[in-house]
Amino acid sequence: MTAPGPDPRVVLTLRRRHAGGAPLFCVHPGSGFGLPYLALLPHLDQDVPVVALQARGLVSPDQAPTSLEEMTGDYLAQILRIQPTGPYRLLGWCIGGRVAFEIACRLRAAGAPVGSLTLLSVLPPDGQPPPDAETVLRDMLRSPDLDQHDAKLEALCRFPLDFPALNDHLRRTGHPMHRLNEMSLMRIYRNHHISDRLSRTPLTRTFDGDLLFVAPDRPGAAEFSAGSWRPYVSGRIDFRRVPGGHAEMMGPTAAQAIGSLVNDALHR
Amino acid sequence: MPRLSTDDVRTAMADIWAGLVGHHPVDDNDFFELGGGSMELVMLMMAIDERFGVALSIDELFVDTFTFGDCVRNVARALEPAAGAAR
Repeated sequence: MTAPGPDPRVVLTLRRRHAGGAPLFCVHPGSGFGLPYLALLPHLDQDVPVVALQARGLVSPDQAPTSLEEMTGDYLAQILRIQPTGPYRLLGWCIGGRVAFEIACRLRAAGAPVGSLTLLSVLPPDGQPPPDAETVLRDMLRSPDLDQHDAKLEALCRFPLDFPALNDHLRRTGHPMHRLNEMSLMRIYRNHHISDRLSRTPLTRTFDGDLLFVAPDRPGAAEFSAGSWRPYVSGRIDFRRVPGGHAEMMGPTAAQAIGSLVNDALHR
Repeated sequence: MPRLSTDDVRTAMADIWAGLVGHHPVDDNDFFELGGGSMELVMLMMAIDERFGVALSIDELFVDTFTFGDCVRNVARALEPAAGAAR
């Protein structure tokens, strides 16, 4: 009997062809999907395999984790199946960064080397209570190109949901989620909700390695600073800004800049 | 598992795609243009794993394009005995 392979409900391998080095493990953002990290592939060295960790709740809503510890334990187990020994390379965007940080700390606590940790556009939890369900839905569906208040969307993000009317609005504002049917939209929304809650778990661990901390350069991203993660990282912190807003980190411009920074970090 | 021909793979794969995007595809059809999204892609990877017993990466499944033809060709290639030995 061979050891179990990685669980395809959680592990989405983005690149393996011609890639022989240690993989870069990328933890999903709030949506739960690992697919956005495809945007990094053209900008990362060819020999680096890229493995995305996706939220278990996307495929199996009844198996969604109820604590950050459970979520990171699940992903850690998948990582160890793929790569039994270090050094490990980790990256996370948004709440995926909070999870990647936790995985890095747990690997270090187990004595495993962590070769690189990259956090994209994520801050340590600020102690604020989680937003209510309708706010989470509204934040998820706000058009990425539209910074101003969208009263119509606000009215449509009320439970019980009028899905056809909401879908029609998303279509008109050009939101990428207009293509989703109700079941998919609700699963993604639930992942956002769970991720948002779990990512607020207070930090109790400290990472003793080096951190690459990448922030968006948009106005409104002023809260990101070189010192943001300082209380939780005892190694060096390389703080960089890349063009774009928080939601655009896997857009072509930011992805290119991030790919180049990650390459440097992997070779250090 | 008995060896599957490319035609066997094509038939089974067309059913999998139809179940996800609602259309039986032809070779030139692009997964995303047919209406597939992130969720459907996750389901596609899982269905391939389950039906054919191969866990492919995205870049192995869709080498040059996201078309049905590429998908069939690459799964058939992964099922060749030599490819199995390399995994």
